[in-house]
Amino acid sequence: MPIFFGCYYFVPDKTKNIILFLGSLSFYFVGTINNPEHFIVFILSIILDFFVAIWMEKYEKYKKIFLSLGVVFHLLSLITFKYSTFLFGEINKIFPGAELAFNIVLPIGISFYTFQGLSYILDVYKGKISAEKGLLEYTVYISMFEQLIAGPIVIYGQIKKDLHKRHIKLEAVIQGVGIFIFGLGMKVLLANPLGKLWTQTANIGYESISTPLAWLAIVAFSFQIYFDFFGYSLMAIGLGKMLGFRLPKNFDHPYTSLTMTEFWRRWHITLGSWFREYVYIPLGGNRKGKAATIRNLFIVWMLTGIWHGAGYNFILWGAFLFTVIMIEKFLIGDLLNRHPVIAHTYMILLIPISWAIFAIEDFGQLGVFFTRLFPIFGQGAGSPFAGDYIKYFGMYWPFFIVGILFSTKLPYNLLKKVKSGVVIFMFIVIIFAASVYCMYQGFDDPFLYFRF
Amino acid sequence: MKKANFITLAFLCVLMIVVAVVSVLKKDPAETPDPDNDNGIQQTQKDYDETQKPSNDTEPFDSSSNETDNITQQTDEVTKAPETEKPPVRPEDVSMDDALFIGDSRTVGIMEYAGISDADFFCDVGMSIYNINKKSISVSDFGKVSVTELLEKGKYGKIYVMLGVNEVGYDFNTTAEKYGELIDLIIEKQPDATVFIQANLHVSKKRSDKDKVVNNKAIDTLNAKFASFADGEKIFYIDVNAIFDDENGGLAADKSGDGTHPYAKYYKEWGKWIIEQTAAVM
Repeated sequence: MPIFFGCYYFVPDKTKNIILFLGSLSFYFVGTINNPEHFIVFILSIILDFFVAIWMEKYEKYKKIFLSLGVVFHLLSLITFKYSTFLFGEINKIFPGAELAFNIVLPIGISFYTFQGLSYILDVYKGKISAEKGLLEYTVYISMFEQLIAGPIVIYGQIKKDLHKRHIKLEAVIQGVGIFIFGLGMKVLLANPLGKLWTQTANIGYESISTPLAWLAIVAFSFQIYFDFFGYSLMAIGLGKMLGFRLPKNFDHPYTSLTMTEFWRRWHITLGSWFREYVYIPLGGNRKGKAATIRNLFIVWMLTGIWHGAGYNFILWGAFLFTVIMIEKFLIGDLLNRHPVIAHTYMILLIPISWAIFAIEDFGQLGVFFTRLFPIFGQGAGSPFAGDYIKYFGMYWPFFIVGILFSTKLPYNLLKKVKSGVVIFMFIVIIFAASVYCMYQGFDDPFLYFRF
Repeated sequence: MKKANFITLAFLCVLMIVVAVVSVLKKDPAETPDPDNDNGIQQTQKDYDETQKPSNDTEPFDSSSNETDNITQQTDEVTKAPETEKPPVRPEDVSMDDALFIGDSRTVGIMEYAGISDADFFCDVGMSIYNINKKSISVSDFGKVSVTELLEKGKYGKIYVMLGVNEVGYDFNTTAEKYGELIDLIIEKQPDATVFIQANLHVSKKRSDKDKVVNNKAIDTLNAKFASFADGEKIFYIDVNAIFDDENGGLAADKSGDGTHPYAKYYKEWGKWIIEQTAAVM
């Protein structure tokens, strides 16, 4: 990385794309070294999209065919790599004689770069943008290492200008470094420790935890997934700034939302925008009557669910979100928006519940976990280890406090108000030092959204 | 096509071909991919017990060996209850209020979930034979004590020791030597107690195949060395792997979430088994 940045800043602006091209491909090559076919599929998808776009513009009469070619390739590769293991497993259950054995490894970043590629060819098809004329530049757009493996999902139109012309200013680089380190801190100092509580609970076994511990654990997971993903997005944005790119925001204090509807406008913003732009609106959005709107939202939420993973729990999760959003849309949304106290209480319960469905892939285990969250059946709220929640609260309470704080807008507003460069610098240095120490001690964990 | 694009396209095609050729040449038929190891997290000996990471994918590896089979057989003979004319003690008659458990995170699991509430526990996550003397742990009525202080202050009829999984990265002979010193200390301070050396629980096959340090071959080797301290009269060796192993000789995958510790609900079984083993030698 230091060699890459050294070269990148050293070369003239015109040549920066070449360095970024070489650097990003090298990083992805190393990342896929155990599965070279992933690297090949990645390159093929880039080349295909580039030419599909060029041909769509050159041979307008056949643009539907070219678009279909691109879309089919992307959907096929996504289905093959992401869903075939699950699908074949289910087929095996229904037809035991089939014995289809398929254990495909998910290529890193495929869900993100596929959506970027699809957005590009769809935008060219619609005439929203003109096709990129340089294959190198297009490759840089898709493969830019800072956003390749976990987003934000960048639409071509958003960075076209930066792609072709950028001049790195020292101030932007310094800001980028600061944002990167802040994101790193979120992940290493907050997400990872809180994630350990969730993992520990799973290893105890949900049948053996008390109700307070069950709630503590799922709240910990809720913080883990937020700070993990938010942290990573900030790292991407920071690196982007260091490279001269302005990447889109991906999170806007989602845990301050009054409704689930609002939550999904603040959480993984670029994914929501993608589905809105390329699925919801083309289907007609809310412009074709109530029934069509409901159908369109259902499709979007089911797709959102399965985008996150191949498993029945993700389908259930998508359906759950759809149901909640429908209830809000037609029944309680206005009430919640007018009464923040009720709304926040509602969301404090609903967010962890929705994450429980997301986090626990086995339905049986999910059922057990819910009987611990809501101990109205038989077992009661206790566990064989009386006071288990006291032990774990004692271990993790500082992280919960900081997690709650950083879920609000308070610390961010405070940081924005600080004028002293020295204070910010010290703050960043402390976060960096603490993060490096934790990583060195082996406290780090793989990024949660990497399995996408 | 523009010249620049042609060069870029040619470069990308050559890159793909090189990657394909190298991967075909590199492919060893016995090798299987390790796809989740994206950032090559290395299990450090120090943090092994503390991190309790979930299992990842594996490489095929045969962790059993004839050598350890022979040693296990020897230790079975060593732990056979001596001939006695006393009537056999029933497990339900065994009282655990004079019992002390010394150990690492697996013993913490026994403390929290086995339901042996009368016993004392000197245990901690990450405890090892190398750091046990530095540990100060709160034990029932004694407050915060070191292991030596506890052995001096308490009066125990049965002492159970399970250490070793946090030490498999160190030299086995040195570890066994230090373990022997602990056993000597226990006997010195608690001459009336019966000592039970608990075999270290295996890890799952999945974990064992992947981990170059903490694997079942190493655990078995260390267990065998500890077993040699048993004399069949006052010091016994008991091996709970009999009830937790699967057909591969590793911790059964359906009994553990992290491949290292059983789910909490199985500690009750473990506790019951300990009492049965205790009854058998009393």
